[in-house]
Amino acid sequence: MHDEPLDTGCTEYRSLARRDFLIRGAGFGIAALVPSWLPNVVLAQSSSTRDIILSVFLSGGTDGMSLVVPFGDPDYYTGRPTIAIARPDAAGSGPKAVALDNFFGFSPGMAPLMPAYNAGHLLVAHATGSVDTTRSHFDAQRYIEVGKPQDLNLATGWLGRHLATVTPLRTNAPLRALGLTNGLPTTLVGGPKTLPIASPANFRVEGSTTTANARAQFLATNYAQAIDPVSANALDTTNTIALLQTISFSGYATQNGAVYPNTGFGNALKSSAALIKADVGVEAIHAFLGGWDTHSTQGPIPGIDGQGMHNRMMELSSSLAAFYADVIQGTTANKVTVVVISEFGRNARENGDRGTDHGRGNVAFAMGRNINGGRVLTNGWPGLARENLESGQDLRVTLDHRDILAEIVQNRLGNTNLSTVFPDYAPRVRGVTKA
Amino acid sequence: MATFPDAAMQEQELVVDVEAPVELPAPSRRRFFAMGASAVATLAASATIDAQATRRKPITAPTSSGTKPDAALDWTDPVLRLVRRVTFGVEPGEVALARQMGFGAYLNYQLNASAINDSVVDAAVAQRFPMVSLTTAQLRNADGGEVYNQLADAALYRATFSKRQLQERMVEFFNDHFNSLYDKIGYLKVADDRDVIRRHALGKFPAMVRASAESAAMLAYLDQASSRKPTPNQNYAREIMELHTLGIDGGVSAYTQNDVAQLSRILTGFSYDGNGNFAYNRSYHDFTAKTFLGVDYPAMPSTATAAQMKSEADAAITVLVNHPSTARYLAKKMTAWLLSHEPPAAVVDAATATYLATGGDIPSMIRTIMTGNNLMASPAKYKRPFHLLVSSLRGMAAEVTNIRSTRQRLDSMDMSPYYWEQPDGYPDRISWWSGLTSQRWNWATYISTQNSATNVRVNSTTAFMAPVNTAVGVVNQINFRMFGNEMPASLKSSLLAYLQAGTYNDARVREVIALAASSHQFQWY
Repeated sequence: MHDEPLDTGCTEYRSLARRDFLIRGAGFGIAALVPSWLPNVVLAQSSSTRDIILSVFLSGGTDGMSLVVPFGDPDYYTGRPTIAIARPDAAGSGPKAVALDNFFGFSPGMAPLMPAYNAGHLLVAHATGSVDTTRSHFDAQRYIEVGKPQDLNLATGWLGRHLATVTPLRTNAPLRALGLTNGLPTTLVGGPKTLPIASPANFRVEGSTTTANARAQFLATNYAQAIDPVSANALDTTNTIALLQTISFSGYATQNGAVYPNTGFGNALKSSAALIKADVGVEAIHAFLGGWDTHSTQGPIPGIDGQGMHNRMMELSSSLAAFYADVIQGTTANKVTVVVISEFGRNARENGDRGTDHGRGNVAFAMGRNINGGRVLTNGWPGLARENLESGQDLRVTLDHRDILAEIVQNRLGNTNLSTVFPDYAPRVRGVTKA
Repeated sequence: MATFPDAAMQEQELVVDVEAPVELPAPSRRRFFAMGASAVATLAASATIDAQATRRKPITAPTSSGTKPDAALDWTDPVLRLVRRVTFGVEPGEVALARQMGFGAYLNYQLNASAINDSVVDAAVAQRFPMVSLTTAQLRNADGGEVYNQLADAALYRATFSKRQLQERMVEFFNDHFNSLYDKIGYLKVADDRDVIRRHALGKFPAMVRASAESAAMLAYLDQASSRKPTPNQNYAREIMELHTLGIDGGVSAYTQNDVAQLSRILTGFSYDGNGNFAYNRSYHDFTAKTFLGVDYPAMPSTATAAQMKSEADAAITVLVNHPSTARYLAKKMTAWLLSHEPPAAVVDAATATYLATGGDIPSMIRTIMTGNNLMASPAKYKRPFHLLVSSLRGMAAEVTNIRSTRQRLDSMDMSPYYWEQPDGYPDRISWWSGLTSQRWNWATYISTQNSATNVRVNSTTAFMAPVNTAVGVVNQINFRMFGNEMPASLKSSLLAYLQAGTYNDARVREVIALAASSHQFQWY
């Protein structure tokens, strides 16, 4: 369904959608079809030129050394006799890394991102992560999502606090941010007009479609009499439902021939693209891709152990590559920056089951036309020789992931309140953005 | 299949039986209307037209006529107000029972939970969710996912069907107060829920604190179990003071960071064994001298027994549970839970005094808080998702054969049992929950359309249509079952209008039941 192309180009799609909004707003002759609470989707424009952010969390602790291979470090091959990915210049016709520079390379599963990298729009950061040394999924993910390690009591997320301390991108947007999830992701907690919407195409008043409008009208009238914030939240909800109904997700036509994989994550990014192109004031989207907890038979390259991790990397990279072609290279009112992080990396050495256990340093990615990409950013490669490993087993973290995020928050999302977004942390400028 | 006790019903307009005349304190009312007015002002401000928007129109709220009154203003019967706060939602059987007993006797009945014959529900829980009766030693090799499912299902099942409703309400409260996260502690939570929370929820608070301090679940969740000299982990030492006992009131605490450090040293040794039972680990204990909250704990010889070492922590906990700050902190939190999101200072003062006079007796505190006058003066409280689920199941007389798929709706409502990450427990604030509006509406649609003999059935025919099979009859029955006959006239007429606007049939009736459960009036208790 999502992959059926329309024969309209994207420009036309946009103007059609826009015209549809205007007609509805003006109430031309279709009043019977449109409930009175339908928002006037045409939103007050702020003059902001700041970016929209798509934040992706790879849950499970992805093995960054299989995504971005440090082929220049001989200890990588020593520690991983069966699951290492061959050097780009390795002999033979088997799978091998694709060079990013003379030290790092993409695994075959990440190769679809080469166009973004070669265009200078994809930044790869390595040996990055949290200063906290926990190897618990729960604690590590939580610390990264809230944006402050070792604080068990901070309930809001870094992106939520960003949204709470910046003026809306569109003044009257009913929906500023969403998590493509059932519950609100911790990253977004604290954000105003922020909802968990697992499937934007299906965010609606459930039950009979015949009576959906009548029931929605009933509820809108009913909640108008409630005290706030209950009333205001209900209004945002009905407006968001109406708003999302105006966007044809199933008929969405991508630009530049982009094809999203027909997977949960691929469709999540495709929905994100449709939302962004509709220009309805959504300024932050958070999505998860899980399945990275590869303790055994990791399979990071085709042909070994069922190639499970290779397939997962293909899902990630193909989805991001489609988003790159469609959105970042496409036409959007505001530019878009993508960040991709995980809770921690995995052991430098493989275990006895051809997998890897919970580790520390990891990769992270930033993508966008204002990202200073086309290179692998490190704060010094710590090295994989045993004496250089944290606790004798893990790639050390030499680059706090908050440095990457903070620079984007300040330079691309237009928020200078970094002490609120990342409390008790003084981020360092690493040249992530073009400023 | 579980059902509610047959409600002696059919009386559409029950006579309001006010046992004790109650006076409405005028100041609270005024305060309340003032709140409503300021809320309207806030909404108006949020909908202002952007000055730069020339060709664009703002989104406006549907017009509201004048003030937005608190939902509780329609609740004139103190006994019903008591039922709303003591239970997980009105249903005819409980309402009839409370009215028959009267305010005071019904409160006593619920407070004396162990005297309530709940054998039907106990037997059902034992049969359907056998894992919640197992020891941690028996559970340690069980499938953690199934343990969780049974534990969470049992919580929802009991909250819905147990006659010990106040006990269940306090179990919910104390599971938040002594929060832990299932993901981190797994099956240990089964014992914590049963032997700490349920056992003491209507008992003495100090005993619950001690039980929690020796609960493997808590020791694992807050990293106490692995805390050892010379650099103990301060996580539990901090939270037992900040969240479990002394609290922080307006940024002011009765303890310092040094007290946290000292208590963390005192607590070293609290751990658990491989079977998930409390075990004192002598080798972890720091037996050098400490001073905590002004009390000296002299150095011990390294030959001291485990009991001697542990006695330091027992003494420190005694200081905590006897502290006036603990009395006030718990009193304020319980008043907020039972009475009002904004607990009145006078009630908090009274409940604090009760704590200090009774050694932290929870039923005595509840008696102090839950008076007719206090209830009549209190604005409505907003149901959290768990509460909304249970109150809908009760009000719709749901017949439950398997509760699992129903309980799993809590996941999409962001309130899976035992899955709040931070140690402070699921929030009890309107603003935290009111954003998930569509989830509430879709829950109502989901449950009102359930008609499954193997899972859940809302029997629209027998429960809502049979008594008087007309549109008016159905709306009256919704009022009777779900609103204790205190549904506001405006809701009654709008539900009736909706029902009459389409063909009268089972599907339409179920839609109206869903709309009633979706209405903002049903979100309060």
